[in-house]
Amino acid sequence: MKKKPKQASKTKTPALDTTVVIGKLRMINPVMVASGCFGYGEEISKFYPLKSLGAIMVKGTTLEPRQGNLLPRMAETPSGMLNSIGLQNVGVDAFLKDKMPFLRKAGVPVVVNINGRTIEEYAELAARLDGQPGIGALEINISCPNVKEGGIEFGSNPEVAARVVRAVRKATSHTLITKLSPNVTNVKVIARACVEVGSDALSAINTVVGMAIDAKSRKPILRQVTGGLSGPAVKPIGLRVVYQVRQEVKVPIIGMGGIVTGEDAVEYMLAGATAVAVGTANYLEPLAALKVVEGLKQYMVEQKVQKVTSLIGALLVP
Amino acid sequence: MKNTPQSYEAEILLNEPAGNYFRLVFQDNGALKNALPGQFINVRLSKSLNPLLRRPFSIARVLPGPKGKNRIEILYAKMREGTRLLSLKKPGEEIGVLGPLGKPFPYLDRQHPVLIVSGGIGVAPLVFLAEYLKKKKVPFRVFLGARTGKDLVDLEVFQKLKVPLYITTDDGSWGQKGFVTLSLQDYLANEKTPKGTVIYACGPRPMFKAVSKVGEKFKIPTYLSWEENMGCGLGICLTCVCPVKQGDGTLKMIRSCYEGPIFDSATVEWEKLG
Repeated sequence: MKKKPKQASKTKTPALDTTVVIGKLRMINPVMVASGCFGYGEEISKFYPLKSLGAIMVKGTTLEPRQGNLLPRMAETPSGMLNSIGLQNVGVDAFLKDKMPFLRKAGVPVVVNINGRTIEEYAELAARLDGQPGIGALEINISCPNVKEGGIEFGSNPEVAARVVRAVRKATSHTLITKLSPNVTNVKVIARACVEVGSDALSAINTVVGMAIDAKSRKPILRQVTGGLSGPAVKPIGLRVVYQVRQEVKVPIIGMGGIVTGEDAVEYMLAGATAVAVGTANYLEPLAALKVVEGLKQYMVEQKVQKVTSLIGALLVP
Repeated sequence: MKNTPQSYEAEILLNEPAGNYFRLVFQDNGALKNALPGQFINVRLSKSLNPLLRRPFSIARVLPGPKGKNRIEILYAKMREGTRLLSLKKPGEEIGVLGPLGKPFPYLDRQHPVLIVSGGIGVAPLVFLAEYLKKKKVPFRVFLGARTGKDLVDLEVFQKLKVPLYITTDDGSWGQKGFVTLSLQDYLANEKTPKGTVIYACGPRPMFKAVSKVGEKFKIPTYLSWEENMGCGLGICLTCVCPVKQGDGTLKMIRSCYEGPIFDSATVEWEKLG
């Protein structure tokens, strides 16, 4: 019997709608890659076209280039890893000159993760990135646990967090995402403080502060003693933070922390995320983020979900 | 020549002790067909998420098979959890292979005669190097060092190549008693090396330092096949960096997995290492 592909396609279910919008950032699907877990996209572009992703959150960027911390910078832990990179990056000028042309050509929206030692540095970074084509949003990193100045200090206190966001808001018309730390007593008050002064969206979570010790040598494994825990081990914490923040504010949330599969992404969306970011999983498998996109679509087909946005906050709490 | 990395499942053909170390042979799908000496693979031990990260291994031998589908040998020491789990794998089981990764040794031509210097399990990338140099008719000599004669893994491969071979063991159970730098130093003190000679070395950190000093003393460019814990092997996590002096005197953290794993010893900033 001859196959009749034309007829078969007519009986197909309507096309999946995977698009999501966060401020001015329009994405073909809700799957991004997390800052610091994907460099500037060049290496992974050898494995698949980057435009298959919703957006790329590039490596944490600072005003001047930084070389980061001394080694050891990494310790593997059960289903996770601690890192203490210390924001090694090329600096904003080299980023704009050497990295952005490639990313623009790749046709994928870029989210620039910005880090300052002072509030003025955050504002200056935002000003430098303002009006640059190809940038879909800025992610204000007030939660890096691995730098001596700035980082998590800005994200642990609602007043200080608000001052950073307000200064960045004044300096740019880009969509602003503030990256929250799980290492706080009450993440809701930080989230609210950021939104009240103009953060268009929030991302959660940055890494969980932790440490690893070698019992025999009695030494910490990381040179900096503490580091940031990521990977599947932190997914329950990430889900909890997204769920709590969703109760508090109405702006879009980008959920991240331990996402490996399409169903992990769905869980974050059910908890309240509009989009998700794949981080550590990129280290295990170069195709990881693409597999999350495929897994999410497969879930939508199987569960008869036509619009991906219908999953946002659709958690059934008994 | 296509030499871009691929991620694939590979069948284990052999996994057994080799002296105090282990030898594993797996079936390549063709991805490593054009791999060069010094390049490595990053191995996923299981599909579960614990242990989470891959483990990097040098390509030790490329054993020709039909249609470019070679068998690949890796050599490893049972150190901690990852290599312990790997040592339990049986033929017929699969490992996830990602490779070829990293840049090869910088000069692989007849204008650059090579002094191969190996310490312990550091022999892994140097077996591939020696077999490759032989095939390309590049003149070379081999300085092998190990703790004991039992640790001289793949010795018979070197013997078959019929090149000058200098052996030292820490306990004197095979060859000369002492470190490998002893035989290297002896050779360089007594013989004139041809123009263009380079040292390619792999071994533990103290040996790297010692070889670098010998290379510096005799003004022979020395390249080290660096070993470092890696998060991804892909160049995106920045955990495996090596502090390298730049031409302008500044220090730069260079990725072992991407720009490396081969480093010019004269540029390594030893004081800034972990």
